[in-house]
Amino acid sequence: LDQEPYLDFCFSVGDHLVLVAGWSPQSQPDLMLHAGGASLPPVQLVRFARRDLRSLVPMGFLALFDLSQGPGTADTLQDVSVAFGKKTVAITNGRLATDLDKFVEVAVDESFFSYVRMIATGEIPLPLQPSGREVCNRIMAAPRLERETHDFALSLDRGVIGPDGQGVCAGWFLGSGRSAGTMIALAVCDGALYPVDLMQDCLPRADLQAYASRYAYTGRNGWAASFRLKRRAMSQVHLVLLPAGQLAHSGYVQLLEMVKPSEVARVVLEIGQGLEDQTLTRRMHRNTLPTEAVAAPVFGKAVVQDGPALLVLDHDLTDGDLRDVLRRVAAVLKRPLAVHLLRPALTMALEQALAGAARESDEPITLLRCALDPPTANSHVGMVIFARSSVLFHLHPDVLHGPIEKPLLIASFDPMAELPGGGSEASLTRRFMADRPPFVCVGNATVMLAPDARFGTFLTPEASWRALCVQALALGQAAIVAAPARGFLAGIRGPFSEGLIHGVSWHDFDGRSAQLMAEAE
Amino acid sequence: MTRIVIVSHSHPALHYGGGEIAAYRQFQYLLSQGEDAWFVGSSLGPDASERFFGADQRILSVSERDFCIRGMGMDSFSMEHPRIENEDWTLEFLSALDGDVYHFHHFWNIGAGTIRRLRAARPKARMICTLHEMTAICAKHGQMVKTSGELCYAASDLDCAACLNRPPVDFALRRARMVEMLDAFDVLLSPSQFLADRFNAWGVAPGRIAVVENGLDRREPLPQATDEALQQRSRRFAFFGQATPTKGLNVLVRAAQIIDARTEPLSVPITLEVYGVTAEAFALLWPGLTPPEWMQFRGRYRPQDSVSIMQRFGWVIVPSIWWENSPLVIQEARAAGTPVIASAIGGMAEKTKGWGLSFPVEDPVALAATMLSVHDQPDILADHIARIKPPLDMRDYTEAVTKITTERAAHALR
Repeated sequence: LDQEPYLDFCFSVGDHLVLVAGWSPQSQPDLMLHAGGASLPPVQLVRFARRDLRSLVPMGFLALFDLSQGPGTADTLQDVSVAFGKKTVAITNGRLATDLDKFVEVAVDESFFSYVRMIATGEIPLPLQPSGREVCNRIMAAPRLERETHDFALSLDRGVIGPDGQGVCAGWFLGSGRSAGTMIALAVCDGALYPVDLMQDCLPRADLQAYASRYAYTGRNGWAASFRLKRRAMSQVHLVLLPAGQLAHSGYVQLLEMVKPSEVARVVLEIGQGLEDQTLTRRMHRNTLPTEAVAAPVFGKAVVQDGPALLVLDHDLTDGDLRDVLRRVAAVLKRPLAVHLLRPALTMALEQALAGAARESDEPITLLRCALDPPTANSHVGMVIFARSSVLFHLHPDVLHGPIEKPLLIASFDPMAELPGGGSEASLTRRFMADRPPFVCVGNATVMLAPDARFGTFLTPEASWRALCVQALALGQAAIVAAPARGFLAGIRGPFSEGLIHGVSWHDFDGRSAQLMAEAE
Repeated sequence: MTRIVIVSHSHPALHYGGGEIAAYRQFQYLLSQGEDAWFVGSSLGPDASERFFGADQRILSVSERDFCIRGMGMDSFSMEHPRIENEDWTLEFLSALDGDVYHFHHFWNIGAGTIRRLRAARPKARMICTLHEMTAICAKHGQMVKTSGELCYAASDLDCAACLNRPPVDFALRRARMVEMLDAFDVLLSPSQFLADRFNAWGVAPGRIAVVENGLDRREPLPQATDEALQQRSRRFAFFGQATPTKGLNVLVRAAQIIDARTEPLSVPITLEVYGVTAEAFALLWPGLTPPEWMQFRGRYRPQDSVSIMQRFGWVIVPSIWWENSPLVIQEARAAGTPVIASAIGGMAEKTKGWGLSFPVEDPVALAATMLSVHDQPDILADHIARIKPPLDMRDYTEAVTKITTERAAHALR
């Protein structure tokens, strides 16, 4: 064999990264990338055997070069060459821009799936479109791994994806003694790839004892994984598990189950219960949350305090008690009241309670909608009030009566505010963020109902509005007052108060989400 | 003429309880006096309604001025009609009677919403409510006896939540609803000071509740009992009541067993007769208890016969293990001139003070000792009979209610 390396492809994989694919019989091929006046060695060299070379020797390679490490190289992508020992190949005709598509189309499987693994581990960025779609197509079209081979056995026991792209999976992986290695994963959806944070050997799996004679069984062979897509999934989402060394196949590909956000949360919690390391528990949860901060809406003017009001109500009392809550609010507001009830269905008791309240009110009380989702942006013009029913039951009417001089008013049921030194606005604001006390929020529809990514972040609209309030307080766009909290008794009914698992309600889960996002900021 | 509408949660033609009897007695008295009186009762719930009403029938006309409306079932926790149409109908019916005075005896089957809306619809009508028990305070049948069996001395949101296994906020909201409903009445009446005290401690403003005992039909003065009659009566004891656990019949049977098990037999026979309960019903409730032979179960009796039956006995025993408010049995015993031995709590203690005997609640040993202390003691019996004051009759009751209502109306005008 010629001892010189052979260059198959050379393409750009990011602003400053160049990937070279080829093969060489040398165990340490003498590779160098020249760009401008700089000569750079590869920052990473991945080796693998290629079936087309009819050898088990790992002659194939992917060499990654980082142009940002060389002075004056960033602007010289038109003048790049790759040196193999004494031989130099000029990268001409725009190959840096076009070789990726050729690579995806014709590269041998081992090269291509090594490239895919580099994406999965985050060593190189995700491919841009339309190349990304072609990468996905090849992954999905390639032969797939069985769940049990001589080298490994694996399983995806549970894999769920929520409507906003939050995914959680768990299973187990057993490697053979000779090729245990690490397993990595990718999610594939809508022609795009997404890295998946797979935490291997983190869950006890005593039930796999029977495999001990064939694979490397440790008793903790369970894995957990989580991720969040950049955007809502428009089609099916597949998880691709990539065991180490399996480069002739795309991986073990499984369809994820589309579920509601609360079910994703439940799976996060259930898997988290098995994780001994709490940093992994938090990491798994955090991965399902957005990484980018939500931009503040245009807050505009002070709250409009005339005209019909929209009450978005988390009714956390018995269904029949809705009548008393609405009677109280209607008596204070003295204006037409539309109600958006955050319940999955209008039960007979709720319907009768609404009718009863309407019978006793001087102004109309109407049901706008009954759903767990918040109202849409154009569903109301004017004042919007959000609260839990138990909060409105305890709320002093003056809070809704008085003038509101900012775009948002927050009445926080903070028991510490009534203590001699606990009532300052600063401390009230701090505890509103940290302690998550019950609250009422009043604002204009343009602010309260603005399309907001927060609604896809949390399980409850309350958590989204709390986040909005926190943002508004930080920007000086909200006023916060202490509502008398002595004697406050919380409601525990309604879906948001239900336990996702024992002891953790939807509100609790949202609290953890908010804390994890705050910690990351 | 003032039109008075008497409203009861039940109708005595269908169900016989203390509250509805008091209500109906008031109605009959007013009619007898030529007043423009009307009566509205209710069947107790869907099961009872199906027996008496046709498929879509809402009302039974017992007489020209006497109606029984169809009870559709009402959760006593919420005290609201489950369906607003039923509330609408009840409100329309009550409004159609065009009353100047609406006197409610209880509010179950009527509904808090109905009362609020009636108040709003007829602001000039005088609305009266006689509190017959503690349902507004206690969601456990209004008895203030905890699920553990202990007597409850005060309601609180947290205590009630622990007792009935519901979140405390349910009780806070229920209390607010009940207080608001009671606020709708111009006059609140209680047949006992005990009951008024409980409501005051719970949150009704002091002075809002007037204490007026329920009226009984007027009776001729009792003839002087002969020595021989007193001797006979002093050996005879009786129980009047229903076969419900809170009436404490089991306590009485245990006391009888203690008396029966004395090593030294009684020199003079003792008798104990139970009215209102059959032996079979007793055995079903307390299968492990065997009454002695001298304890006889007489079964049901006509309520109008109760006073004459009681006159045959020396002592009427009221061993209830809940507070009772103003037991009709005690009033009837007063009318019969028969002293009472009662549990020393609540309305029983209040209503027998000065002329009755008491024993610690749920203490059969003490009850047995009390019974033995007066058995075959005609002098003690005569002494207690002499201390009995006749119960309030309907004329005095009506005058008292009219006076309070007039005073309240005048006060409201000021």
